[in-house]
Amino acid sequence: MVRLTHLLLASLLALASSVLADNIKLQQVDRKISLNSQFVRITETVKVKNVGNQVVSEVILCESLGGDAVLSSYKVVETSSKNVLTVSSATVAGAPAEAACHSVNLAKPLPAGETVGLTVTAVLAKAQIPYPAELGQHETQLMLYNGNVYVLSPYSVSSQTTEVILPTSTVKSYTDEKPVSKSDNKIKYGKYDLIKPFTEKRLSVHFENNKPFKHILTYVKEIEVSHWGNIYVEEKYEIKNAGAKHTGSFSRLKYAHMNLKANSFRDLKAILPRSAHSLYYVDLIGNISTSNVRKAPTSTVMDLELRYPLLGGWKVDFTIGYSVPLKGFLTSAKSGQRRLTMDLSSPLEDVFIEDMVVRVVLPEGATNIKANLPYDMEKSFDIKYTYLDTTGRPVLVLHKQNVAAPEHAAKFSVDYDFNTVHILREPLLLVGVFFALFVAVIAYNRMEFTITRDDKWEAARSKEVLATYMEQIQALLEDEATILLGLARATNQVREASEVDTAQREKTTVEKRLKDLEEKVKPLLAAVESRSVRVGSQVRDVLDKARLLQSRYFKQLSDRIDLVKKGVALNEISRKLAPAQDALNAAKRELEGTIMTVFGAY
Amino acid sequence: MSTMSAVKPSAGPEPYVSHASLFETAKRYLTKTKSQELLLRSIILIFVYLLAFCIRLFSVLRYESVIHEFDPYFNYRSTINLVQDGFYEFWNWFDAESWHPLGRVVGGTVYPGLMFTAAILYKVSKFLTACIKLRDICVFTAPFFAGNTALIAYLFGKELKDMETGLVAAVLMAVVPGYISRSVAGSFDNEAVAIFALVTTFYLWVRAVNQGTIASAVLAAFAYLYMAASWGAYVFISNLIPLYVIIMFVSGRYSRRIYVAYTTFWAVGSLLAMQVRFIGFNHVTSNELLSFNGVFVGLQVWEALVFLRTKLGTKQFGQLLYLTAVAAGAVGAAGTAILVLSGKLNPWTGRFWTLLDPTYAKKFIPIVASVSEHQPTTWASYIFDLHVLVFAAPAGLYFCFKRPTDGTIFLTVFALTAIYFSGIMVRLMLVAAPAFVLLSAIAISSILQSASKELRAPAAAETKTSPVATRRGRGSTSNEENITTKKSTNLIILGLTFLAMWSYSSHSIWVTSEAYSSPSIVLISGWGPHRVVLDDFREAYYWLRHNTAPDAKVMSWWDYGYQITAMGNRTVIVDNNTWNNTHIATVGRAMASNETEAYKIMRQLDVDYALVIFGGLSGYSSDDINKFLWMVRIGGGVFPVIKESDYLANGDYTVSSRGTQTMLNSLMYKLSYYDFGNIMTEHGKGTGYDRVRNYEIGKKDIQLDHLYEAFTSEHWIVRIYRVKDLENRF
Repeated sequence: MVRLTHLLLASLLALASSVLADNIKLQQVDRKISLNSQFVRITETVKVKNVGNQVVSEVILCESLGGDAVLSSYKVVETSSKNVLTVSSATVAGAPAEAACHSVNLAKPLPAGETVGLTVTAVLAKAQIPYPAELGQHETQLMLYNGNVYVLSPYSVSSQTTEVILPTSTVKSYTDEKPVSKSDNKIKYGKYDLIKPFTEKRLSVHFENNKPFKHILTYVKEIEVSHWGNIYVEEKYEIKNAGAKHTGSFSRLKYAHMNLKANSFRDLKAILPRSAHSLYYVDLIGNISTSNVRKAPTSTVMDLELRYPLLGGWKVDFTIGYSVPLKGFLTSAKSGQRRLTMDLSSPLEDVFIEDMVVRVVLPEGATNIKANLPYDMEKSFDIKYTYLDTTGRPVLVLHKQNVAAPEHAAKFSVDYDFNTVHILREPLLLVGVFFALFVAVIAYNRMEFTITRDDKWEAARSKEVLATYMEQIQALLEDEATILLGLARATNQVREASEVDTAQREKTTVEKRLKDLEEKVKPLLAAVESRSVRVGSQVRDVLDKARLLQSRYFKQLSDRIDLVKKGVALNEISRKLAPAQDALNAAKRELEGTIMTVFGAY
Repeated sequence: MSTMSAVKPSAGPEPYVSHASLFETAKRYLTKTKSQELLLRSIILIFVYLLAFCIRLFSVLRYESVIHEFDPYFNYRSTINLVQDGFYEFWNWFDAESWHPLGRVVGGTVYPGLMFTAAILYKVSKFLTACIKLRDICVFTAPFFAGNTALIAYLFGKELKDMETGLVAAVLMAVVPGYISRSVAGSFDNEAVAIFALVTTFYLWVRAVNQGTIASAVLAAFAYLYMAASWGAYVFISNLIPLYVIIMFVSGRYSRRIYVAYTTFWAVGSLLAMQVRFIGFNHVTSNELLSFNGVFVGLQVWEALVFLRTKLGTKQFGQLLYLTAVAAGAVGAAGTAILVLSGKLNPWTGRFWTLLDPTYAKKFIPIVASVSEHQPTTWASYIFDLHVLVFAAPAGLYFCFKRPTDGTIFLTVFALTAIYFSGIMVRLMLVAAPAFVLLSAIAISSILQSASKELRAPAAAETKTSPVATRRGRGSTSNEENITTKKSTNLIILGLTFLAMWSYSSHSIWVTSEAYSSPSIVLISGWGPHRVVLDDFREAYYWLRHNTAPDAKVMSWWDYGYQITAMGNRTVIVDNNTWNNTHIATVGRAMASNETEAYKIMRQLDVDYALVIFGGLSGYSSDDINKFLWMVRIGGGVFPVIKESDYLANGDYTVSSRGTQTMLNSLMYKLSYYDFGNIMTEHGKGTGYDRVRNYEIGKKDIQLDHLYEAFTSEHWIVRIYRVKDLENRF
């Protein structure tokens, strides 16, 4: 269905253009074809004149694509206003097969008799063909470019010139269509007057080009956003030297010592954000130990060296990765909407990417995902499971073919809704898992897995029960010690007669609490005695000692109260009570020792 | 609050609930000696675990998280296969990428314990959504298991003597260099898990003997399964345990507990070990396991006789004994004859003789002798790998003999055999290390215990006796002097022990960081800005992976086979498995022959690329020219065309101008030194100066007819040559 409408549209357009063809004339076309890299970069300044009597809002422009060449980037700007015009590809009746035509929507409709200036920039990849196709290690690389001498156009062209710019002045051959002149590394064709629509004449240049042909066969970039403060980027490359194929032997001696490097390359340069950190450069078998990183004022520059130099036709793959903080890349609105802004294409300089995939992994719970792209890309969605994920993270997948390095370098942004509560998902999950683990251990400890309940089992169980009683008694004794400590503190606070009452009150409460404990320990003691007479008597001994200690504390308090009531000086009181206090401390230590021996095992 | 009862008294009194605050409860808990001891012990064990793990990370910090050396690359590759194809497919894995054109039945010739362990760890981490890369799992398997081994050493020590010994054993085990040498991060080799399995089996066996229950013996059998699945040295266990039983029997310490433990262990352990495909019925028929099976039969006969003696009279019993002896002799002889004749009873293998006669391999099996880790151990390496333990272990033996128990006798037997075997092969130092550790732990903890006990005891006595002593006057002075001298002696003992432990730990750390942490596939020298990285191996292997035909066959010496298949993903002719001596000899012959002869062999073997390792430019000394004598010897062992004397100039394998013509025309020489005669390597020396051998090479103008240079790595360490197709005859 979609294809049908496309076809329909195209034929309609073709119809329209053929109708319009007579109405438009290209007054002046100046074209520059730069072959000074692995690409073919074409710049045309076009003067369009409406010679008909109707208003024209659309102009058709064509480029010649020979062989396997692909049009990587195509941009039309109105010369005077510098406005970028919208462009859509079009089929034109009568156009040769190699022509790639585009229909350009003018910003303002062009009235009859008026002219408008347009500037076209086109980037062609795979348009230079190595010739010869194979190359020895010491030979220089020769390339062949095939184009058209005349500007391909559905309109007649009044006047045109073409300039071909080459990397060096070495040219094996070039098409000789008069008038033509060659100076240094430039070949000038034209000026040609009054050229009919779609006039074909092959333009062929055979020249030296030792520039590296860095082709990235596949490029996968994954951007993973964590709202805990990090954006993690990983880029996977498969790179090939697309120049003339290396043939024969590869001599390291010639390569390194005689510097015969021909069309090979080993260096790549990646420009990363300034705040990039935790960089790595690896492949399937580990780190690639030949790289260097430096901080420039606005960027982090990563100088990469491949594992081995790539001679013509050789391939290698590698992965680079880095992290950037959220700041500067992720903005959020109050309504919970976030916007992630990142570089879309590869950070490598001067490369051609045949197949580019950008995956944006957003945190779990992100919804309403929208992408704002600088150019058209295929969009799809995916789900990725990674650290502590339950439902998986939504992934926006962007796909594009034939990407040229500087032309397609642009920012893109992704908008999505994210509730901050979701950030707690993972910690809560961890907490939950550990909680469940502890609960499971507690439950396991309380379970009984014995199959036969024999004497041994009975004995062990009885011992366990005894231990729980002993633990309880020990806790009780510790509580008692704390209470007595409070009593001692109250004792020391009695300094004047007026404070006696408070102390008396304290004494009463302490007595009551101790009595309470006394009541509670009786059944426990009985339970212990019923299981082990020996331990029971030990406990009884401890309890007796504890009671003795209690009485010492009380004695100390009453003595002090008596002395205070008599009005004895404080230091005198301390001196008088000191021997009793020493005895008390000794008794306390002894009790503690006994407790440790009796209860230590439980 | 403090009722921590696991079991509630069913119909007892009302439980007492303390009113203390949470803080108060915690404080009370922490002031108890028992809980303090528990806390201290757990902290020590946690730190020991971390120490055992972290000390092995030097290699990752210095270099990177990468698989080391040779064999680990095969294990890594197998693990990848296992994870991708699943456990079942792994048993059926036929590897056509090695031993071309023979291939290798990996599933049936591999100890899969390590790969299964790593694959399971990977699956578990994936299930827990921890997303750890498989390579990192493999890299960190060894340190992880080293931590586990330290914990097992604690349990073993506890079982042998007491908790204190266990703690000392755990600490010593965590950092013993002999074990670290095979278990640093990245050393993804069988030994990484096998030592854990070995110590666990021994621990559980001693526990089984002490308890005498079936359950404990079954547990030991499962540990034995893990060992059998992991490493060929499982045979050590299944010979040591019968030996121990025999010794116990002879020394009159045999008991019903040993009978129960051994019988159960034999039955369950054998059945389990036979599940490993590589072992299978060898576990019954192999001579290496004869004592394991024989002792079982012997024990049954003995127990039957004991049983019958209780039922029969002395005379009848005597007759029965006579009859049984004759019958057993006849049946045994006939059985052995049948087994030998039918070929079921395998002849004594070379490995067996190697262990009994250290010079055997050197004389008869050059392929075993060519491996550096199969060389006899020197005294220096004992000190290097065990340090203080060398001196502490004999003291431990003394303590074992002083108060022998079933456990310490086992340890003694283990230690003495392990020490013997470690003397034969450097590699077996690994097995001796746990024995040394446990013996030393017994010695050190005994010394520390007695010293600290005496230190504490007089102090208590002093305070009690002091008022009495003053009254007694003169008599007490000698007593006090005695106490102080004793005190200082003990302090000196403690100080010396501390010093020994201190030097032991610093030695371990030094050895680990300097000697045992190099991955050996990437070489780094120098520090900071002067750091030089030689990453040639990976450079060349990666080149192979991406720039040769996917079915290309690479011929190299067997050392590099595993690395080429794992990193280069290309088929090799021979690899480190060394299962087919003839095939290796063929490669050795090709390397030792002249180019024309070698070309014939390479055509026959379908070789597309020949790969050599060359250190002459970079100074990398373990290159193929230095290994060349083994190629000649192994090749000559099978093909008499190759004669070692042809390569020797005055008894020396030299490639200088003194070298023989055979040597200077050999393929190995040509491939190593092609183009080398044109460069200056060192100032003041002529061109073609070999920096490993330290002389100029003999023949500088090398022409290759049937091969051409396809790739040479940056520092010339790896050189790859393409074998040309046959010339067009038209």
